[in-house]
Amino acid sequence: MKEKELIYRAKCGNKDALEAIIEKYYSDIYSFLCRRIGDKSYAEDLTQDVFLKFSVSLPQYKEQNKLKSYLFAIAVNSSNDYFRRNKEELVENNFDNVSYKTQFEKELEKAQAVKNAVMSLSPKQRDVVILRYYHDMKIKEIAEVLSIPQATVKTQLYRGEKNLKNLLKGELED
Amino acid sequence: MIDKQLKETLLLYQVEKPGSEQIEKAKQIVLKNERPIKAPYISAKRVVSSQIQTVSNWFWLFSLMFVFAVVYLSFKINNQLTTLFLCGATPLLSIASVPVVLSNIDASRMELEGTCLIKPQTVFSAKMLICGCFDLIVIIITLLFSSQLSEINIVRSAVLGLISFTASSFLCLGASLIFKTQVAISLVSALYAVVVACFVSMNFLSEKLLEIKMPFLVLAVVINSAMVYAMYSVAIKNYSFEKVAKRFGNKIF
Repeated sequence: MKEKELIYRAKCGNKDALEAIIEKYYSDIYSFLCRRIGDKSYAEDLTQDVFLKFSVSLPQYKEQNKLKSYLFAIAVNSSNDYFRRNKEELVENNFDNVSYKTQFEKELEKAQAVKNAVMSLSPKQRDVVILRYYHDMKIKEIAEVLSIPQATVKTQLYRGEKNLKNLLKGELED
Repeated sequence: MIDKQLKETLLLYQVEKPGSEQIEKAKQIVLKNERPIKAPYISAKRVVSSQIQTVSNWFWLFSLMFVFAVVYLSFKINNQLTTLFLCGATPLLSIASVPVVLSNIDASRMELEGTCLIKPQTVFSAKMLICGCFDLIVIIITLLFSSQLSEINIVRSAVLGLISFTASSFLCLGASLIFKTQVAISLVSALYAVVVACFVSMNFLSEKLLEIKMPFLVLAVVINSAMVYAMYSVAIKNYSFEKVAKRFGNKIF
């Protein structure tokens, strides 16, 4: 079923359509929030919050925006609220909650270093880098999600990449 | 351009994929807290009047032909036969109502129905009401004309006609729950009409039918009406948007 039809049905109050949207985008939103806030359990709560906000705002949703971008925009706003409430204090304390691709110690160390590097970026740079590198979004899509001009996205991406290269010098050389 | 080396390094940091339980939990929470979309209030009168416009002209024409046929026969044949003919012909009114009532409950139209403010169940009820009321009017008009042309027992004829009409309506509703096509549903009622026609054409059986006392016939009308209502209550539950879509195999999801 096409995305447009799915949205149309969900707008008409069709529960199956809403469930299908959640099923389709849950994984993307969850992984984005996991990386953005660095905490699995909070990411789960926030993902639920994102879809809850989406279902409430559905009647006002205009279809000229891509649904994926719209959901990511809600995710960014929800996690901003979370940061305001928690002042990023939890980010440093919950590294263990995130699982890694490999169990080998060396790789684990590398993954930890990458995570630390991503987390050390400013929130704007972090958003841009995560959306660009982990979700393969285009500059235009990132600008839509973050509600900033494309030029700003490019600047933030350039700075983020530069910072990451400095922070991950050792890993990049390997 | 994406820095490939940087991407490879960044991809070392992976997060666990969410489990199906986690997604189900989110669905439950969202659906539980979802605000129902409030449809504007539409009066029953407006729904019925809007649905009358959608009734096919064939239905009105068939009803008119039914009146003419019975009145003509009452003029030509004897009184008892007119009553028996009415009894055998009323199932045809139910058959004529099938395409009218079920026209909206059609898989190819469900995409459109889902966007409407009036639910398929409301449309179904309105059309049942329109057809039921109109058929009753048709039966009464037919009897009034026939009684002018021949000396039939109008009350007995009306009661026998109603028994046959309610029984065929019950069968049509029941068949609509089992069969998917309007033809199959109509065939069930047509089969009933044939059985009734054979029954009334046999002299010894039709004589017995005409000898049944009025209280028993009235009781039969009441029982049949209650059965039609019960079948309607079951049918209406099956005409929600989702159930119809699933039943008719519409590939919505």
